[in-house]
Amino acid sequence: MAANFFEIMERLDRRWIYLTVFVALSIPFFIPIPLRIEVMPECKDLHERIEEIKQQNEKDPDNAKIVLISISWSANVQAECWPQHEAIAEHCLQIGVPFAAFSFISPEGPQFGEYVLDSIKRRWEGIKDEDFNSDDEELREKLAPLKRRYDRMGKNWREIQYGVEYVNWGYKYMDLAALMTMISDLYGIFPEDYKGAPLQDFPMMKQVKGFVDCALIVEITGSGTLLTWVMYVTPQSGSDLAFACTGVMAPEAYPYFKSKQIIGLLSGMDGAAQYEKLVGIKARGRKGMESQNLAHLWVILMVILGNLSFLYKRKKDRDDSKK
Amino acid sequence: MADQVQPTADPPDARRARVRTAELAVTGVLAAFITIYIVVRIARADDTSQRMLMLQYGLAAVCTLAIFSFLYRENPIYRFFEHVLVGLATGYFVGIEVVNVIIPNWWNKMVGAKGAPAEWSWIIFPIIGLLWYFQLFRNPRWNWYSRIPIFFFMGYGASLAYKGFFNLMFGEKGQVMDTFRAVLPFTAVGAWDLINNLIYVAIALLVLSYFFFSFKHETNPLLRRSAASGRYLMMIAFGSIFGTTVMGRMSLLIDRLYFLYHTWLGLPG
Repeated sequence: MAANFFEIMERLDRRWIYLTVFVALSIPFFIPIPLRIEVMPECKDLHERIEEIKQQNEKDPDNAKIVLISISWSANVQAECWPQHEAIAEHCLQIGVPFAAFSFISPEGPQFGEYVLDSIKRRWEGIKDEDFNSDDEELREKLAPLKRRYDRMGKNWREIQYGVEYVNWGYKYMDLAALMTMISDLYGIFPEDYKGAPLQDFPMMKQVKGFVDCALIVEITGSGTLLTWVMYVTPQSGSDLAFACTGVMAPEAYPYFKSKQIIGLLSGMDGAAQYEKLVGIKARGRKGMESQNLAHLWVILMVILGNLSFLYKRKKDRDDSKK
Repeated sequence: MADQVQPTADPPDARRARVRTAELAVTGVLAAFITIYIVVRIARADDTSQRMLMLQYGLAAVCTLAIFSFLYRENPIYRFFEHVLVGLATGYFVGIEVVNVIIPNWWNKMVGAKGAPAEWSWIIFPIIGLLWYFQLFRNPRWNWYSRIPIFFFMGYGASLAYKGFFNLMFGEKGQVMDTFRAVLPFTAVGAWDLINNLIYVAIALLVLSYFFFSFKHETNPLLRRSAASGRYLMMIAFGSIFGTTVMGRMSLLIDRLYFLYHTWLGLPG
């Protein structure tokens, strides 16, 4: 019986594996699987840093700092970078830390920045004002992070105030020299936002002269841009740097987190799911991780069965050759 | 010539023919279903912008499914869409380079756009840039000209790299500086830090020993063992990278499924 099974496994067409992985990934889209997500220190540190910026801005509003999101991603890595971007933007909007977005390697970056905000707005449309003070304790607890925005802004909490809460600088192709110019002279490189409006006229940009006034730079990327920031920009600007990257890049980024050259690290969809948990949302990251987990379990099972089949075949071949 | 044996054609394989017919039938049914679905979604849209959006989703879904068809096997539909992707990407980025780089950063400055004074000296830059193409000449007499832009880039890159590399490795939080960790009990902050630091330093030394070639590994028992340990430790690191690669590839598929199920088909979930 077992012998037959291993022989079938040995001969199994790989397309059956593809099909089963496809099914395993699809199931959680329709049947949610409860998943416990552990938040790692590298994710928690980033969250705490943004909370600190909020407190610093409240203490010293005349010297308010912003968070800068560098959108170095596009369609090819949106599976991992979109949820990261969405979770971080949601956090800034919840607590009222102004943030800017720009791109220096991805021409589509600014457009994706807008799509992400549209996605946040769509999610907010599904939440009623009365839900924040609902009798349902579970719902209240779920909405607690977002309630901070509701408490601050009242009925207009769904409107994202462009220029006050958020500005999109746009895309500009630039080499290292231009990026380093932006440390102290932002407007020499980006005089206008992505729609062509003068950048300096926006309220949240009044105190921003360059990267030096960005308390935190979050590089969201699927490309090898980390060293550009670590080697050249942040040592001079004094800004903290957080790195949100695709899963495959994360192992190489950990040494920089350990040495505190980056203060936070989000690794792929998993990092995004952790951050979503911290900001109390269930968007693409957490939904995706349900599929991810089921598929991983399936792949592990397939690897074990494949290896057992291989060992069985090897033993059988040896036995046959002895005869 | 007459003795040459002509290769005989494969005997007709009935099973293969049946599979081929079934493949064509499934492809036809799927294509018909997708086309009808896209047309219905477009027809039921409220206004022109919604109709365009539905068309956009439909095309994206067709492209996605066509590329996924490679998982079954290499086929002309996959090939066609692969070429479409490569062609579009190339065309798109050429357009981006012209509109976002060449025109604003060079042309406008040279001809003096938006009332700014013209700077005709900027003509020199594309000339220097074009010298790269002298690499194509095999004759050293012409090939030599390509070295002019190369020395600009080398000098610029080297000067920037020096400072950057120093920051990266020997700055306050540099990688080399961070490797010097407290491993003695009275210097470490706590027991866990001490254990962590010992593991960190031990791994660093073991892995470095693998790349230490001043002595023969075979004849030096200490180096042989430490190098072997270093190799295993590196394999653990590569395994971790491979694991995250699998996770990344799954994420890409999840994103496409998210699009197909929720955005395109509009299924709840």
